[in-house]
Amino acid sequence: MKKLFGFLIGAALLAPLGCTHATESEQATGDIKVQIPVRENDQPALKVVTLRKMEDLKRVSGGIATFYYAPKIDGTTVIGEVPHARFIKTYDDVFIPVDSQSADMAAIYYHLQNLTALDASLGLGRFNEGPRKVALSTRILKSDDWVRNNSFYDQNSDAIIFVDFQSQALPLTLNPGVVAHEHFHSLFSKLVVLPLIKAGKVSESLKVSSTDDELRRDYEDFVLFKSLNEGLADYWGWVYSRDEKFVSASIPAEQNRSLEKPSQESVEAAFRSPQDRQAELDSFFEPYLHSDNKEKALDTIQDIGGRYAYAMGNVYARFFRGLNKTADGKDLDANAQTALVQQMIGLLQDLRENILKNKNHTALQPENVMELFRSKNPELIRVHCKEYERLINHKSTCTGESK
Amino acid sequence: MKTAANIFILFILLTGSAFAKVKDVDEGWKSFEGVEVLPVLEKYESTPVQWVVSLFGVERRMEASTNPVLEPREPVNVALGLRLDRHLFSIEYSRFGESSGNETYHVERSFQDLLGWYRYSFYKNHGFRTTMGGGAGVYQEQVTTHFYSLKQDLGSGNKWTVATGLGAEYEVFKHVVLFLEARLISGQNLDPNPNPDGLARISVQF
Repeated sequence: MKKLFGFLIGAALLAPLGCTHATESEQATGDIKVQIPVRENDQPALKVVTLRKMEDLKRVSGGIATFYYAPKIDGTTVIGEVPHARFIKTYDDVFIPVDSQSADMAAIYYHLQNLTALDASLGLGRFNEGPRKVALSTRILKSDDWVRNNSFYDQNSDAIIFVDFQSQALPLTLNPGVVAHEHFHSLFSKLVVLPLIKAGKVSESLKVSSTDDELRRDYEDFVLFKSLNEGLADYWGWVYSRDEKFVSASIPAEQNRSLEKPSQESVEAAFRSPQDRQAELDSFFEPYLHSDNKEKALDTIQDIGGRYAYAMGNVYARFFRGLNKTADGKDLDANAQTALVQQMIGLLQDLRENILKNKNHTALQPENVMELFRSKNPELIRVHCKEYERLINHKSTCTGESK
Repeated sequence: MKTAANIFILFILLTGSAFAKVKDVDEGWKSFEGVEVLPVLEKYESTPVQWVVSLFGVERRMEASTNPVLEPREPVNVALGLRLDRHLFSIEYSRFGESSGNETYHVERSFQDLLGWYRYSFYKNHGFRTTMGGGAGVYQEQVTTHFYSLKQDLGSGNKWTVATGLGAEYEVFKHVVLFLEARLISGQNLDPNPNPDGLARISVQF
């Protein structure tokens, strides 16, 4: 009897170990229904979406993305632990995130899944094959403080990076436009920047060792590429999210990143004439030439150029957004919009090829880039002549043809 | 809560009938001379049934967080039990919550479980006892999601859970018992499975 009693007690003690098994989210594979917060057309929704071909919902891993928590980014490598998302499963087999980071992972995965499908439909699928690397809660030190409330695309590691978000606005991780924006940077990098760097046509950064003329040229290239990259990434964010104010939804201070039709005054302020740009370059480089700490002076120049590039990039973003509208201000139909996105991608491919063919390495000018676009799409520019004139800061390109 | 109430009533009924059966058997065994009598039955008549009530349980349960590391949760723990010498039958309720996010997107999770426990005191010396035992019951998780002005409540429904524990108790004053226990709690969707858990509580028994 004592033995039986002992056996029963032992069995009771071991029962929890025997009952150990994988969680519901670990067992969830294939197409899984998950509820995520989505801001669609400026409206919030808790939407049930399908994450396709999931291998493990606990790690939100499948063919689309691999997540890292607070990783170290060492050159081309992202080193860090895979976060474990937590969900409850409802009676109708929908997984509900039980914390904000699990929702971040599911939402990012869903948006990247859609963006990957968009790439494939545009013939860009080859640029992002295999799971995308996504770093969450990444700690980046800048000027003795942690970078917060921001996201980046890191060209070297090919990773989308989110740092801690401490604002009360829409988290960047849950902002479909922001995910699309960062995703576009990877396309721009692989489509334009990396082939040009490889061919020695552009520099990755400004260098103290360059001659003055090389520095001026590299600076102009840097501003042009950054403005195109940021502007078209904002446009891509709108293409995906249909939200013209997606940036300020997460960063309220960035109202000027809106893709709404701009006032004439803001366009002129952003897109300066070649003469003004030359004068600006002189004003930057004069102090640099006499500086004792040229590295620091160059960093300052690059920071100023970066800020200018965002302003100029917004002009591109609004211009391409405007091209999505008919003469009477309505949005184009879906096919026409897809054709426009393809024309924009065509511009980047033409730009790359032109630079690769050009034996004389001269600075790129924004007017030349848009002229390249006009030469391939004359009818589109004829319809949107006024916007085009403003964009290139030229008043007589298509007089009499504008809407 | 309706389910929890049903389980509670069922527990009371079961413990009551178990008590009655033990008493019958006890009287039957005593009538045979020379038969070894289990300690519990031997002492049964000298030890009255005692109610044990605990409203001050401090529990620390380790759960996997998204980070991914184990993070402590601190459930509120209340218990009601019946002691029959070396046997302690109890029913325990635990509840804890966590929240994450910001003003725009905010998630509140609450966890509650109800377990029926059986513990056996395998060593007893004056007011000190060591115990081991196991429990079984149900748990529920409730998630409230806020997104801008939207609010949604969803639950996991009832999930099974089982537990085991190794503990020690000491009667610090008459009717007041301090109880410490290390436990492992398994469940249908717990992570890690089992959850390591520690419990400290002061009970009143009468």
